[in-house]
Amino acid sequence: MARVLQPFEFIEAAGVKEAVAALSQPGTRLFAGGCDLVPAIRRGQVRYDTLVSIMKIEGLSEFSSHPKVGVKIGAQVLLSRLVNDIWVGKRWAALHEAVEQLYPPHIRNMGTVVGNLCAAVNYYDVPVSMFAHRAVLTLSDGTTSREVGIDDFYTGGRGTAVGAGEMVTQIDLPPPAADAGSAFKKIYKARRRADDLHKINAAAYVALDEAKEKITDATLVIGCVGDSPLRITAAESALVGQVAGDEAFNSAAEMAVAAVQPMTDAGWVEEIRSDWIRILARDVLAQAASRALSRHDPAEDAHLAY
Amino acid sequence: MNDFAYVGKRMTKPDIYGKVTGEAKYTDDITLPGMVEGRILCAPVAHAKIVSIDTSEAEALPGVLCVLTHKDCPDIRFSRSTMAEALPEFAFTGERQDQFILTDKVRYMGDWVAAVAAEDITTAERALELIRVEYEPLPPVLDPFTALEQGAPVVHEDCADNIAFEMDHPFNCGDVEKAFAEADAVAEFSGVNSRQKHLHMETDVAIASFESDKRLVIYSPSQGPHLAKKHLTKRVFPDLDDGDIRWISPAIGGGFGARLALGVEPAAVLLARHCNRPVRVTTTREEDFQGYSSRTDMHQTIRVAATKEGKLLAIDQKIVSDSGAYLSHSATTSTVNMQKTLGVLKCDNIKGHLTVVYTNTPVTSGFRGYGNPEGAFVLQQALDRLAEKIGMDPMEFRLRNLKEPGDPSCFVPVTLEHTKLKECIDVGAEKFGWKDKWQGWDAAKEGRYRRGVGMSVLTHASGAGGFLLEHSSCVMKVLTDGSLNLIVSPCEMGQGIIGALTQVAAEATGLRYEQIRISTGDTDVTMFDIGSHASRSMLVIGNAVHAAGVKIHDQICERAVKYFEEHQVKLEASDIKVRAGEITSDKAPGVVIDVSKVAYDAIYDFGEGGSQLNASGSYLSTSHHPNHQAAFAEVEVDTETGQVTVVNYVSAHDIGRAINPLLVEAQMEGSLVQGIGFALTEDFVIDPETGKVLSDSLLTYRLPSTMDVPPMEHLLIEEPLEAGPFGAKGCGEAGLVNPAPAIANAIYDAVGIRVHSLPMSADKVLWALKHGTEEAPGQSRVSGQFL
Repeated sequence: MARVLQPFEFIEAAGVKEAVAALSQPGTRLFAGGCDLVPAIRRGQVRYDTLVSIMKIEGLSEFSSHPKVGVKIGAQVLLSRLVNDIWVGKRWAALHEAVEQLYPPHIRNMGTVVGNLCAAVNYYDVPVSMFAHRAVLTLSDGTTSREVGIDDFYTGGRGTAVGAGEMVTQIDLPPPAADAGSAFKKIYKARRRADDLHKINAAAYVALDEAKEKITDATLVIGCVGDSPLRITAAESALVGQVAGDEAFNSAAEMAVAAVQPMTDAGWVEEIRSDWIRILARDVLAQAASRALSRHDPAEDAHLAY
Repeated sequence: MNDFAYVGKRMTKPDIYGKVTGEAKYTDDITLPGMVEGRILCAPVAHAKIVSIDTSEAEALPGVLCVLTHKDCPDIRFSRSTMAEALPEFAFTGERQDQFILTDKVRYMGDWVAAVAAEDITTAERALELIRVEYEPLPPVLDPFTALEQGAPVVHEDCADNIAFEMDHPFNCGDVEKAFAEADAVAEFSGVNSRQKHLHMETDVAIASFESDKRLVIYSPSQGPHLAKKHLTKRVFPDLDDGDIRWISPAIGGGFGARLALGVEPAAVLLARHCNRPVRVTTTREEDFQGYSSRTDMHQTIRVAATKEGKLLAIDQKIVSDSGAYLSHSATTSTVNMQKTLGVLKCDNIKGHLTVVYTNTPVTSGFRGYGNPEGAFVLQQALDRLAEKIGMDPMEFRLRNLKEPGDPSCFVPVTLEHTKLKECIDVGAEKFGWKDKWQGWDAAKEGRYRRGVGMSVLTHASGAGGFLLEHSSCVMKVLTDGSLNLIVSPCEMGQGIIGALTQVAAEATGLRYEQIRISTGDTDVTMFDIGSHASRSMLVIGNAVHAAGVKIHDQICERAVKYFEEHQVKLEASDIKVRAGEITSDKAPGVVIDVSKVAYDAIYDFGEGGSQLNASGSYLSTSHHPNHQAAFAEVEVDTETGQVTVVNYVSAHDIGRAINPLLVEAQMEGSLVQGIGFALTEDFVIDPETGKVLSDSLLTYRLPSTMDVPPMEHLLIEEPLEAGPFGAKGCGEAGLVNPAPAIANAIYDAVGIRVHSLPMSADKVLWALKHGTEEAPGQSRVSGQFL
């Protein structure tokens, strides 16, 4: 049962170096929006004496988007900053949809994009869309930095590739192909016990050839089925070269079901889960392809969102 | 056309400015000199004996003033529900008083074991961690049906069968079995609602302070401070008398029925007594989820019978309610379910039986609608099944069984005087386009996304006159500028009653709306009233305000006679009228006297006529004056995922007269959103093995967001109720009753399945689509957790 917060030290670091240096003290942690951290402290799941805010560090607030260049998201950028961005909406629709449908909506106003990824919670929506967009994270110790693809970012459990004395300073999304689209969808389930499934989320990216017929590139990601979002690589490679249509998407969806390890829960939950994985996989692929065909503005079919 | 200055107008409610600017003072904003902070230790297990409590470490912590346990509490049991004090003895006899301030045995996870007062809240919090409690775990019983079995764990030692309350429908009538035997068609539906959370933004909080004259002052957001005060003196601290307590309800951060029960007030009083300092006790949102209160989950079966012509012959209802660890409101809400839900249509043979069961789950409570939404979810689906069996349009079936004035009403044993339910159905159906959208019981729907329509009707109360203590009084005084102080005790918890009463007062007195100030919330100042609940405030308190207002109006008229004489017009007081601050008469065209002149001269009269204009008004309600509503929902079901989206919603409400249509519509809009949450997204989940609430935050307990709210229209059917202030009836709760059954009936129309538990979430709908609802999987039967 949650408690009233105990007092803690709060340091507003002026630079990345100072922030990561402070982390060498035990009981210290970085703090951005606090959406995941503060409830965890209140519940007594974690305890920190010092929180180091990164929100005053210079140079981490950059946000830019351009269809030919990509999206840059600094570590301080709030989720709400993405919601009204026209290019994220048009060309990184999966990300747009994930952010737009965040529940509860207050998280958009408090939470950062980078923080949402670093929290490493397996049912979060934004990481799923980031997998579909092949995000690249920049990790820095204040002096040198290195890039890590999102596929390699999560290391099991709630672990990430962020090493000691490092922090994530930026996320980059590569530009989509000329005729490409993406989509994100999620669906909630009533939970019955602590470790029960309570959601499935999925995202896809589909690029078409010049004739807008055949698939030249695709990603398909399913969330809530493991420690971190799962790329369905078999389906992705099978889709390339196929005509973008029901047949290809249905078989990709079957591969998604096959790729997911069964849960240990009741059989009927397994059945619902498999159905949802199949349907969401097919839906996001179809939606992404439809957007690739039409360069559709996702705002116009917001009513189709789950 | 009415010539009202304010009634029926879309006025801005006067208290809104303080709410939106942050100026309004809530309990948590209040700091008393010397005030310390209190916290309560909640049990981490669902059922256990408390072997020992060692408070020595906690007491030794610097800054801790006292640590209290069960042995420090008055040796008297009470119920958190304060409604007992508003009920006549005959109605009260069955209600158990079953809990201590701090418990002698853990009966649910979250039960209150100890309380701490300390100089600051972090010290109090640390002290909680230093209290060493040795628990001897007992097997918990988490399901009402298991609790009813022989040999089940016993929640309360003096209640070996775990049955907290049992009764037959108070208005059982006719011969139900005979009616079923003779009927052309019989239908049945069973289902259970989930434990919807109130989720008032302000979590439970109270300040208790013993002043130097030994009086106890309590600051707490109660929906009925007079009743709460009475309950506290009679049941919790019998050494205190009614006059020993001054209860102040500051601004209230939402109620929805939760504030009809005592919360942390008894603990705050206990701590204040022991440490001789004012104490504020605070709770967190997670504690609110785990322990405080929610809607009672009522497992129900309703059988209904009709002739082939569509005459409703009989209703037979069985309820098993899961009260949680203590009784609180669950007996009364379940009783109201039987009375109001079954009483919506004309039926001569009614039978109902109710069993309220203790389990080791959090305590449930009263919630907006008070049993009616729980019952309507089941009854209105049973009625649809019956209409289907006789092949009749469900709207037509309801129209054929409407009550008319002169028929027996339902909630209290009176005759129905006023109903516009037929007009509600007609107008709502027209707006919704029911004739076009309803395509018959066997309409074939195809495709992945299928649309369907459903409807539901309800009757609800405007108070419970003839049953509860339904009287109210108020005081008015007019200041020299013609402004009015109105001292009255509704509880403004966001519903807008302050605004509506201001309109009634302005209209009745003839004074200006902008110049009416309401003093409320302080039991030393306001007159007795049982608080804001049961949609009663507008009718009962409104009538008291109207009664006082008319007196002020008449006083102004009498005093105004001489001012007309100054204009060489000789008038009787009855020739004069006061409206919006101006005194005029048809017999003196062109003469306008401002009320401030009369009001000023009344006070500043050094001669014989000096007296401030003042009046009191009282009203006693003798009926529940039911309001009615018809609602129509259109949904779209994704047959592949099971997801349900409400795409359109129309309701029509029998309001008598809307004092402020803006506020009535806002009530309907707000309750529809709460109703959509009840129907589709809000899922209160208790772990079936441990009794822990899993959905204990707003992250996991999903309230509807704006994305879930459809286009909606709320129509007001206005024909004044004679007994209402300017004809008004209540409207606070009704809007929450229809959404779940209307949506459920629409789902059936779309895809032909019915889900038997709320919320009707995607997984349940999908399972039912694939397998039917007969062999529901995962049937734990716990709290809405079966399909």
